[in-house]
Amino acid sequence: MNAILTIAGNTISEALRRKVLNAFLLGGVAVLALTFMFGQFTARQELTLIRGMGLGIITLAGIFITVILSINLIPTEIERRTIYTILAKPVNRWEFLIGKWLGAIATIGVNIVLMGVVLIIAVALKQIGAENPSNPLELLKGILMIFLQMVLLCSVAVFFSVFLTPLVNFFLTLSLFIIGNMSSFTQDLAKTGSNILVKGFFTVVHYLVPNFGNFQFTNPLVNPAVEVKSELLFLTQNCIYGLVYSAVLLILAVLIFDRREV
Amino acid sequence: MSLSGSKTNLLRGLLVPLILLVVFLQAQIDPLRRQPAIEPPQANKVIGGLKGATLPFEYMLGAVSGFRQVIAGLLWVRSDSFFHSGNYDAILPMIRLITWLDPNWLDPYATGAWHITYNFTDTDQRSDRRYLPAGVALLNEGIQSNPDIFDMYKEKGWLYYDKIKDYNESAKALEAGMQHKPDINQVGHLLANAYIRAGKVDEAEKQFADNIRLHKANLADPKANDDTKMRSGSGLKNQEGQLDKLAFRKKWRAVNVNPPIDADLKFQVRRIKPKVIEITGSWNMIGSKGFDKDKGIIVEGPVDGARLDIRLQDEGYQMPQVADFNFELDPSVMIMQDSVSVRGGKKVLKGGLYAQTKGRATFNDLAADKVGVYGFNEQDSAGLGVPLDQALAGKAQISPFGMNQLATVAYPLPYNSTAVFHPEAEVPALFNRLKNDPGKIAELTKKGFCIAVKDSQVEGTFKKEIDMSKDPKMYGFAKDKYELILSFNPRYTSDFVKDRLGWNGEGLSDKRYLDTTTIPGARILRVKIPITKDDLLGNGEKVIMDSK
Repeated sequence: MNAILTIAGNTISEALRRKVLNAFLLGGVAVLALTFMFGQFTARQELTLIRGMGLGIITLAGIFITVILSINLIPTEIERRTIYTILAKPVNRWEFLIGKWLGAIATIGVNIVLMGVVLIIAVALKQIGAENPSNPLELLKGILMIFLQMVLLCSVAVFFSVFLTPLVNFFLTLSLFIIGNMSSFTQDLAKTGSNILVKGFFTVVHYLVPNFGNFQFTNPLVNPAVEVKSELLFLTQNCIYGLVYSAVLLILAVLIFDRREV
Repeated sequence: MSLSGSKTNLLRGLLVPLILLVVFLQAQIDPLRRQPAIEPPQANKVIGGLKGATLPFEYMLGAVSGFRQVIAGLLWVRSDSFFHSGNYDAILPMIRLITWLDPNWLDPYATGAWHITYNFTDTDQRSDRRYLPAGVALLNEGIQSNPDIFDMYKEKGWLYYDKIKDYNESAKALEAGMQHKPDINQVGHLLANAYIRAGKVDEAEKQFADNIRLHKANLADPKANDDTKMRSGSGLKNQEGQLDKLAFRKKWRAVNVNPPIDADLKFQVRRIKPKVIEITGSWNMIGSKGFDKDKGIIVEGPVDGARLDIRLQDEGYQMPQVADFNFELDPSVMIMQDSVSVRGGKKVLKGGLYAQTKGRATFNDLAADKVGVYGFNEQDSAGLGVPLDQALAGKAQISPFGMNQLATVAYPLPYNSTAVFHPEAEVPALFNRLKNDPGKIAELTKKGFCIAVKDSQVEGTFKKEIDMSKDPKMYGFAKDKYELILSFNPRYTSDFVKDRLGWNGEGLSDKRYLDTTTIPGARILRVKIPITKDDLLGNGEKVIMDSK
């Protein structure tokens, strides 16, 4: 366990040293600040825009941070040959992989939390003196969902990174993210497909491709008047889904990485 | 170090139950995720788009990748900039896409419907009423997507109230809004007024009472915030005042509508040049000049301001009910709607006070106007009476009503007085005071005040030129037959007119144009004039219709 935490710690330090991540973080915060540029709208419209844009910006920044960080986790170590030094020590390959993954998750989490805090403060400030203000802490639900989405995305990228080059991994991971967000369509196609083969194909796609769309919880946060049925159950199921799917991907990654010649 | 064989097998063995768990969880999540509050089904419509409203690929990709709200927000900001630059047409497809992308966002429906129904106008600021069905459809969509929120019902109620003037439909929408935790100031107050304009006075009374009860409940609610309490406090005051007014109006309008007045509507419709018509005419519009809550109408006479609606449309046009919001217009449909107000009606009875305008267009004296003193120009007043100083010197008989008028004009009541005249007992003393005040007599005579030696009444007139030649997009003249409808509905006229004509036109009559069938329960003035395309487009002047 110590080995995992040490590798995770090193991964965080290294990631935070990489200016590209800081640039994304600063960019995200700057764009959040831009949400104060909607002063020409009524207070209600302005809040809707800030909430919607804010969560969208966090997601977008989260995607880039996650993908760029995760696809390079293993290949960079191999390229720099630092992996040989690490694996020569009493460190299991799976510990190395999980440590890298944990480090990446922590880095992503820090970034998302920082941006989330800025958004919550922005919304709280905008609501001062407003009629029927909503609780800005409700946004934490959306921020949690974004984080879990990024955990899953990181797991996908780490899984591919053990056997693909970073460039291929980048496109494949992003493609899977887009397909996974379109799971409503795959579900509909699975139901309404023209023949059994089409139905079967989309059923498999729907249930086996990571459904990033599950984590889209922006609508009730942007429009607080809508009522979500079984909200707690939905959020809990999504948390479990994200973690279990990540576990599957990490096990597969460990099994492949274990056999890989490094 | 690599994994041992047993650990590898354990991990492999774990994969199967975990994948099954993933599939199971996905099956559990699907129905919850697909609920409209989380994933509105309309959002997927952006993929198909609509003629004239299709998202660029990158926007569509963003929309389906979990950035619906961002895309909707960007489009909304863009449409706002189009609005400020006056590029109104560009906004419509954006509203279509935004309401698909984020069907729970209420503002695009409300602002969009307002924009569609109010902002597309011709050169003379007449709204393009072909958009009304689209505006209603957009709000219906808003209601369908947000059935438990009062806002959309309120917007629909307001559109029917203010623009379409169908008060039954307005009330229906607002009644539905009242079921969903409404803002009483917005929904309840408007509903009471919609009832009044729909001729449902008893329902209005009940609604005012309900509003008062709800405001009081809000004020007594310990959980209500300061803003709610402040709004409820002002709302309560307003509704108590409204209920009080309704009570005495109910009482006096039942009496004051008799005998019904003869509106005696006369008009002429003339083509001035191609696509330009002029409507002129007169009518006898009587209203309350002075009203006392304890006595009803004290002074009645011709009033300015009642409006005659003018509508030119394709023959037999009825506003269609549109199921889906679509901003595409049928260019072959033509509707022009405007109104004209009647002005210049005047009346004086023998022995009463009037004023000679002496070349001025109007006579402006608030105190005199309130007691039924009209200004007559030289032409109308020839031989009508004698100047006040001469009348007081004995050249004309002043009636008791004239004495009341004179006493109040000479010695006006305090500004905040609700009385119309001085108390009857004080009038002889005030009259004598005036007779012994040569300075005041000279001042009033100089202002043009005279005493009538005979009765005289001049009907109010109206005149409106309607130019449809500058806006070919709105007025395409594609059809061969049109109808021009002139109408006056007492239900939505001013209260000083309704005080005489009643809630539903009970005090209104006209030998030729009284219509008691078009709006059930209401007595309105209405005339439908068939017009051909040639009548409107022909060269030169032509009298299309002359009611005389």
